[in-house]
Amino acid sequence: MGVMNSAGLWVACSFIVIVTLVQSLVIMKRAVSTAGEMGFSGSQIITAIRAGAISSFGPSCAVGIGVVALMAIIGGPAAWMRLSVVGSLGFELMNVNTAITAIGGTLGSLTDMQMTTGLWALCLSVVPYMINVIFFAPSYEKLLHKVSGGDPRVFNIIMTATFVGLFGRTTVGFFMYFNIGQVWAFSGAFVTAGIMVLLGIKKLKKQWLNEWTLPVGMVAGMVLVAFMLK
Amino acid sequence: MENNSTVMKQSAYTGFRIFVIWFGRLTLAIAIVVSFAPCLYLWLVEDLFPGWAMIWQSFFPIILTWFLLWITEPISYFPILGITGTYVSWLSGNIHNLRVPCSVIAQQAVGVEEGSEEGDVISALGLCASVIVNLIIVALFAVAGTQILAVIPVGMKIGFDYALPAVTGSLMFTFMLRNWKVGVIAIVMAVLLNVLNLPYAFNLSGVIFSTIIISVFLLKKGILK
Repeated sequence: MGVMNSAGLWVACSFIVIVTLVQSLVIMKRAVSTAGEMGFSGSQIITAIRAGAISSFGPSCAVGIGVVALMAIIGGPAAWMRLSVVGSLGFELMNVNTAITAIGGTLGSLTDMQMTTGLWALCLSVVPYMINVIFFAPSYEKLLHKVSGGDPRVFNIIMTATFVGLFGRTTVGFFMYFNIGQVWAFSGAFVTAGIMVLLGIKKLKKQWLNEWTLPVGMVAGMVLVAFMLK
Repeated sequence: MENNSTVMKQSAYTGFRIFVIWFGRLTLAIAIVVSFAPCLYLWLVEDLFPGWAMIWQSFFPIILTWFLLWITEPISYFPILGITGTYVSWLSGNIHNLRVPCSVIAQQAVGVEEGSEEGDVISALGLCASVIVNLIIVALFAVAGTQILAVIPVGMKIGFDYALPAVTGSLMFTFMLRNWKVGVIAIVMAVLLNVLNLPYAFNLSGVIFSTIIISVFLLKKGILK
């Protein structure tokens, strides 16, 4: 395990994490000044940043726990790098499993050479996504405008459809392959968010609750599942 | 006066958009190159290189799993992420459980219309904040994960295992309320494609594309609003 946790490897893994951090810092700085020019107030800008930061906390801790799991397979630095950039815990675990099985290794007891092979496979597995985005993202924007034909109703329905398509599919998975924990977590969050939206935002007109629906709903779901399964 | 401020808004956004496309492309290209730094370090410094044949053998089944999604996933997420969100999210990852929720919540908190120019800038603020928080937390766990796990209660660990269903539950309510009929279409399509037991790649983009096509069709027929 020495090599796979060596100081040199930590340094080598940090480059892409630094690029990711710099990208966000630079775009954020630019977005702050653009938002100002577009007439947003300082407090609105802070609200947006705070909302993103708060909502990120829970899911980030979940990813953090994933780092510990992935570490056991490919070592600390590689796990840190893979989960700091594009990909996700599910994506990396599935791919490392696929890659290692293909070369006849056993997860959890890999040689340094097998871990290295797995790391090559993980690094390669996101390159096609990034090339796609580098070349085609502006075309997707044009396509979206073309399909909606400038009609905001069509545009809105495409957005809503994308969203419920993505999360609806996940929801159906929880219930169809009935995983009791997932059902509890989903339901706790769904009901809590529902109460906050219907009672707090619609009825009592507490607009500031908008910012808290996701984090509070999420915590409620996680507390419920922890309570039920403990 | 009115006209003037609209023009100013537009030129501010146009400049931002051009910058983001240029900078997004640049950072993604650099990221692709430096993502292989650890592999090269292991090869050149530690003399660990499995050989191209071995790498191909491990990577080939990954190609079979993902090649369709490599093509369809960035376009599938595009309507929610927008141009800025696409460049940020396809570098920082965790799109489903982190980027999409944070973008949506930032826009809701400020009260801008999603997908508009204002929405794109506000979403960028929420997204970049989420990336920074995420990188800090993940780094903490990478350095001291084992120690952190040793001190947090068992219940919390169980809770975090279910972060995705909890995020999904919160967001599904908001979006079902926005247009429950589109929600029903998505759920019917998801059940249908699940029953057909298609490969994962067809399944994800299949649900999104079919929901879009049916919803737009019904909107044009005047059945959906």
